[in-house]
This record gives sequence, structure tokens and C-alpha cells, in this order.
Amino acid sequence: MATIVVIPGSSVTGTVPIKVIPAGLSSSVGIILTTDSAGNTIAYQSAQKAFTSTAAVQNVAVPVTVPAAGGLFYVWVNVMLSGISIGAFAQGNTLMAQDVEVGEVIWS
Amino acid sequence: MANLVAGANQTAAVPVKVIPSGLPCGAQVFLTLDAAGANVKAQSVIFSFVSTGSLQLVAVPLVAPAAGTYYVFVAIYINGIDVGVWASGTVVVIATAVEITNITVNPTSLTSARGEYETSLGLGFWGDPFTISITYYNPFDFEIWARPDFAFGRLTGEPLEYVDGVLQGFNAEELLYFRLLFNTEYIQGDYSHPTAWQQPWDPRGQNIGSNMQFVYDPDGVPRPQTGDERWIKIPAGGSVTMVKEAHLSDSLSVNANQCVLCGEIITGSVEAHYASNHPGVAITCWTWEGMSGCYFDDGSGSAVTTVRIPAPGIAGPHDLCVVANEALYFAYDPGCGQLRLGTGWVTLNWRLEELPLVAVAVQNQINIT
Repeated sequence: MATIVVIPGSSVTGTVPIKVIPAGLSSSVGIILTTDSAGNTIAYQSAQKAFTSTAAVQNVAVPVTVPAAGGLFYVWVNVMLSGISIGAFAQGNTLMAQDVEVGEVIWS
Repeated sequence: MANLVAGANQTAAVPVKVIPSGLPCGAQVFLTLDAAGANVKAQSVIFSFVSTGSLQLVAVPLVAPAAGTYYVFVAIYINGIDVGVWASGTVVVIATAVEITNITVNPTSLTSARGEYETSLGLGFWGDPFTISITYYNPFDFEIWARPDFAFGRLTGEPLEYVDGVLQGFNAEELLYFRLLFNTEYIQGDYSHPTAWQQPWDPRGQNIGSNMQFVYDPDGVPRPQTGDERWIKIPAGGSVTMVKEAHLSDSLSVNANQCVLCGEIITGSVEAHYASNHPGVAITCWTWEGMSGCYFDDGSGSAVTTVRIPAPGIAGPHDLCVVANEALYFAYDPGCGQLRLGTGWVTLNWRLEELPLVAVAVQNQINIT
């Protein structure tokens, strides 16, 4: 489990390795970011990215916009099959959205 | 570009924006000689703050280094982790005074013991010897002449600074020994005395430190100040060290009674000590014209011996303060005056100018047992 540092407000891609059996199902995945580990407070939810299952592991790239306010986010993968939500799967990694800007020092 | 003053306490207000808000952060300011940030000449402590998620000014205290131009860098920490270093312009540090760059006392562990020597007037006394070396740096592009003084004592906790020419923040103690002796095998006369400040520029010439010399202007004209006081000459942009062999005062210890039976130092009444610690042992004490003693009634001798112990308040660490008094330089001013030399007069082309007083203190520099 790791904390991945990203820039608040930036666009990143979350690549989800997913295996759906059987092959040929109309499927989609989305990424949800929550501010609590239980997943109750959703800070961001991506659009669902459609794909067709192959019954093998396939990598699905999901565009994510990091919340501009920053903070620590827990990552969930929302899976839908044939338009029906199967569940939100917790990910081991967390996202730390932080940014630092430093201007010119004022001396006195 | 900002100007800082060498050796002064400065504040760097760092404009910083850390997202998200509520994070425990730290800011540290560095001054380096090179644009790559490798040659660090001054750095602040890591100053803690909590991020607000928007632009905030974090005031970081920093002591300015020696005169020069420096690159400014700011390191930001989040949750104790260094998240990066940002270049933040340049700054010029200017000099306003001579700088004291090194002070060494050897040894730093001294005793209150009293040594003695013979003079034509009787016995003379002095305390432990030590050597002090003080290095002065001249940040200007002209020569400076200064008078070094030093004293042991106590920092008061107030800022060490001159107010109307009077040094604040340091209380000098009379811990030093001024020795002015005719330096012959059998000492003729003795003008020594305890003192608070050692003045190694003494006009009578027997108490001077190394590298002390008479003052001449750039034309070679002697410019006496008072009597034949000596000064330390600090070359432009260079350093010079004054070394002085000195002594502690001869009066840092006092006589005390020590019980011959138990060895305890008796600070109060000897009779009371024997009554409470050695009941049944009969003693008699006497005084006569400033002298005193106690003996056993059974005729077996003295009940106490006289030993020397540190005077009250002497044992323990003492701070050291070093100053550069009346730092002078010569400003070119043709025909600014005349000086009588021998039977003639010379025209002066250099006017004496004075720099601000400088004082530096080192905490717990010596320990007296």
C-alpha cells in the first residue's frame, strides 16, 4: 500500500487491471475518491469507462480530475456489468493531492 | 534586492501556498554562495506552520552571515518530509562593523586556586593562567584599527547590544587579573589588581596581546589616541588574531575551616559543628586581632585546618564577552588637520572615522572549580 502524490486540480489517469468472466459482456469501470477509509464521503467520481470483457485481465484507463482542494483520498473502483452496478472495490493505494508554491522572500 | 546587515537577526517572510489546508508544515531558509545551492553560508531552523490552502507569509528568523551576495533557497517540509527546495532570489548582506569570527579559550576548565610570587613589596598573588585568542574579520575594503577587550561574566538574557555606548545584556564579573609588573627576576613593585575587563591594549605596554601595534595613517603619520595605547590592525577584507596570555583573579577563593575529625568544610560556628557531629569532644576557640583558631581541650592539637574554597558564586560556568572597541578607519581628507611631531608640524590627509561598537558573547565559556 502506497500513497501517491498528485497535484490538486490536475488530470491523471487511473489504469484499472480488471478481469470479468465471461467474455463478451458489456462492462464499465469508474474511479471514486473518498475522504474517509469507509468510503462514505465521496469527493470525486469519474465517468464510467466502457469496455467489453475478455475473461482475462485487461487494463482499462480511466481519466480522473484530482479535487482542487487537495487532501488525502481513498480510491475505489466502481464496476458495472450490462448497466448493473456490481460493487465498489477498495484499492490499496491512496492519493495525496498536495501542492506547494513558494514566492520571493521578503526580508526585514 | 534586499540588504541585510552582517551578524544581525533578520526575518525572512516566505510567501508560501500549500494545498491542502491543515497540514503540519515547516519552512527553512538557506543562504548560499552559489546558484546551485551547494555552498550554504547560513540557514534558519525549520520554522513550523500549518497550511491554510492559500497564500500565507511564514516569518522565519535567520542570522545574516558575513558581507556578500547570497542566493536564497527555501525548503518546505510537509509532515516532517522535505518536499522540495525552491530558489527565491538573491540577497545582499552589507557590513556595518568589524566582525569577531572566532574566540578560543584554553583551557576552559579553571580553578579558583591562588598562586603566589615574590615582589619587593611582599607576596603577590594571581589565579589560574589561560590563553585567549580572538579573531577579527574586516569586511571592508580599507584597514580597520580596533581595541579588543574581554570579560568573563553572565549573560542577562537581554539582547547583547550597545545602548548609548553602554553594553547591555552582559554583566562582567571581576574574574580577571590585570598584571603590570616590572618583568625582572626579583619583581620590583607590583601594580597588579583584579579587574572585570581585560584590556590588552594597555598603554603601559606590559599587558598587551599579540599583533597589537601603534596606529599610523596611510601616509605613515603616527596617530596616537591616548598615551601609547596599542590597537589591532585588521587588513582590508582579511582577518587577524590577537592572542593573550592571562590569569584569573587572585581573589576567587576564600579561607574556610575544615574539621580535622570528619573533613567537613565548616561554614558556621566550629563549636556548633563539634557539638552536633562530635559530641563529647571538648574544644576551645579563640580570636585575636583578626586571627582565629580552635584546639582540642585534651591538648592533642588544632580542631580545624584552614583550607581555601571557591568564593560564593564563583564555582561553575561563566560566560565570555569579547568586544571591538572604537574600531577606526582613515577616510581620505587632504589637509584635514595638523599634528606636531617632534619639533615640526605635519599636515594630515586622513581623517579618523569610527565604526559601530561590536560585542560577541559565548555562553559557558569557562568552568571554575
